[in-house]
Amino acid sequence: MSFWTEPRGVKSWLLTRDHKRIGVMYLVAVLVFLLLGGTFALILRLSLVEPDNALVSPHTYDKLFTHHGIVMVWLFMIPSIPSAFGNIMLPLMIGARDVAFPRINLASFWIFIAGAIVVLVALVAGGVDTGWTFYTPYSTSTPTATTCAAIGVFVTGVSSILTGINFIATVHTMRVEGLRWRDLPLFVWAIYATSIILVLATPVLGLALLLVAADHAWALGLFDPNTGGDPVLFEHIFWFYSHPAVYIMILPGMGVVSEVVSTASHRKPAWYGAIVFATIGIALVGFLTWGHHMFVAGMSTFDVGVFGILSMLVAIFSAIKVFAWTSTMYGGSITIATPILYVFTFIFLFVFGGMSGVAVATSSLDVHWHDTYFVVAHFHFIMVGGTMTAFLAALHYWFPKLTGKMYSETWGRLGCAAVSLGFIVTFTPQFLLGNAGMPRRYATYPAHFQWLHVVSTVGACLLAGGLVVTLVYLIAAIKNGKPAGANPWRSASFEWRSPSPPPPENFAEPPRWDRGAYDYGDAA
Amino acid sequence: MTSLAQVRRFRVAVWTVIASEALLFSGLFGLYWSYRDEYPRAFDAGVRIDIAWMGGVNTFVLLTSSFAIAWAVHAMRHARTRVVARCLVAVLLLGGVFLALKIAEWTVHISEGVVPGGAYYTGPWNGRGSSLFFTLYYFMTGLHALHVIAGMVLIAWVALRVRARTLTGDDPHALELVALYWHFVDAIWVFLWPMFYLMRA
Repeated sequence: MSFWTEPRGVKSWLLTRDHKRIGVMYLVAVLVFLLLGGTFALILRLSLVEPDNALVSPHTYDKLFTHHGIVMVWLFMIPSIPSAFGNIMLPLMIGARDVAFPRINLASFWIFIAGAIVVLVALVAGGVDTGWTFYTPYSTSTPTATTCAAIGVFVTGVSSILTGINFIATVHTMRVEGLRWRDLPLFVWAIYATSIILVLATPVLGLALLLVAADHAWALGLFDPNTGGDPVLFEHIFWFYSHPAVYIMILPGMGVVSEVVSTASHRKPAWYGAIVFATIGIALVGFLTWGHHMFVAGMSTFDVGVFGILSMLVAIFSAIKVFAWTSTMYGGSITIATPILYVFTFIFLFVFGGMSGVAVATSSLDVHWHDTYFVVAHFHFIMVGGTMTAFLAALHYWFPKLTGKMYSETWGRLGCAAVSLGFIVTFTPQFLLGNAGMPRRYATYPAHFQWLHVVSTVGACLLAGGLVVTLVYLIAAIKNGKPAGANPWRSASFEWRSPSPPPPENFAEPPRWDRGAYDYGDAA
Repeated sequence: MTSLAQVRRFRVAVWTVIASEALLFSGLFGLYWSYRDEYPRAFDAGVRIDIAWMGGVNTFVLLTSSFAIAWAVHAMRHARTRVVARCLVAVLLLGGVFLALKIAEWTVHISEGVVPGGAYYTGPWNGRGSSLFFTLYYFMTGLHALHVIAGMVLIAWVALRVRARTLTGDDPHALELVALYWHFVDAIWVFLWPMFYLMRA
């Protein structure tokens, strides 16, 4: 008797309060949005094969990169790991029956869907050509559907806040008896830190977008220089959310990596306390770095220096984690399987993306790279590559937990190879392009950049192929996969103590925290 | 009867909501202070155009309502249900007075042509930055009024539960948490009051 079939009926799914079902619905939704956003990206890449862009008109190009950004950021990456896997795994990992407020959890899902629909309506009804950042004064004066898109994103933000509140209350009050804070699984810590950002940063984004929507609808001119408004002020408010938002995307990914590394190495994570410290540190310092997006937008040299140094501080926290993961693996007997392979890609992308992050936090260099493909390559490496590989690692790692079936390991490795290689081939040329002066968001470019663009597009096709293959074999495995057993990875973590797939009430008998989530004895 | 676990859950949730709302308003405070720094004359003129006595009375009204709901919480702990009910009705009435005065002030402004968006007319001094002052005025007082309405809905719900005797001195937590939220809404106004009615340049 698993949560998939008990109780039966479509209505029991759509109105479910079971965190696992809500998580599965999120998972399906974000996968659809990943495909949609990926399709936009693929059209962009294909149109960039030729310098004069024969595939789409320049204005359509503007809309496509905007739609790609909006869909990927707000409909895929923000909800991907926290809302899908956070919902499914958080209660299981702390031995709870459900999240603290199951009904609010369901409301949160449907609010997300409603917001997503409003966004999609905006994309269909005229589209948006502002870039995902909605920079004023262009966003408040463009004839495209800014108001509708901004309201849609605002609504998804409400859903984010509700999810954050729910997770915080869950971690505070729903832990199984005997589970102390210092024993929390690292994924739970990551989700907790993410929730803090969701709750504190999202309202500021909501405000910024409401102001843009109102300004666009009624010409208030709040950020319009003609009426005395200051466009840079909008950038401050926008990035106050949107910089912490990249940690909403990456912190849960780091949590997944911590779990997978520990399970695959069959030993407890090295430097548990340091990882927790770094997780909370990133969440808090992440609030103080937003200014590095505006080094060239009119900021005093002093402010630039302060924001630069604070931004580099994040690299220290991140490095702590990378060293902790590698120390966990070092000397462990690692069982190689698809999840840990994705983690290897994650660490590679994260280290290189992170180092380029330190580089762009250096103001003198940033002036050269600002608004070029270098920045695009940087944030795709660290934020998109990081989130997506961690998401795929989670998808494979918890697939047997969720379905009770095992996917084909051969196909898993092939898919992982295609995705990893595709990603690196897509974005490495973009570092070179940006450094050579290729500005982002241009539909056209000088002919001598063509070969790098072609290489990038080939990589994008490989990446897309890898993702499609992955989805196909995973869906096939739901039906035809071999039974996985309750704990195929031989993990000590709490979620694997319930049957796979779990029953509606999560644990067959009342769970007891009699040994830790990373208690592998001396096996390592 | 609310279990202890539920009480803890709701308490964490309400404090988290308050933190989230505080950040929501902080974005607007940031906008206000940035623009005030840039346009001191326009903001001075704006504060003079706003109707000081209405702002003052509204502050008194909200502070009194906060006192009344604190009294309700106190009375509830001593199981004096009738006092609780009277206090809650008083809070609702005071909330209504606040909203009525707010709407009256907006109406006066709009009849004088001081409107959000479009062409601003701010009377004796209509310089650069005055439209920013009034956009923020409408946005911030409007957002705050929405919070007052939300708080009143919650208080009405609590009052109905007191009447139905499902909220008693043994289980006063819903009242305490709603009171906490109401105090927060009140505290936001305590910041808005000087910003829009008192602080002349």
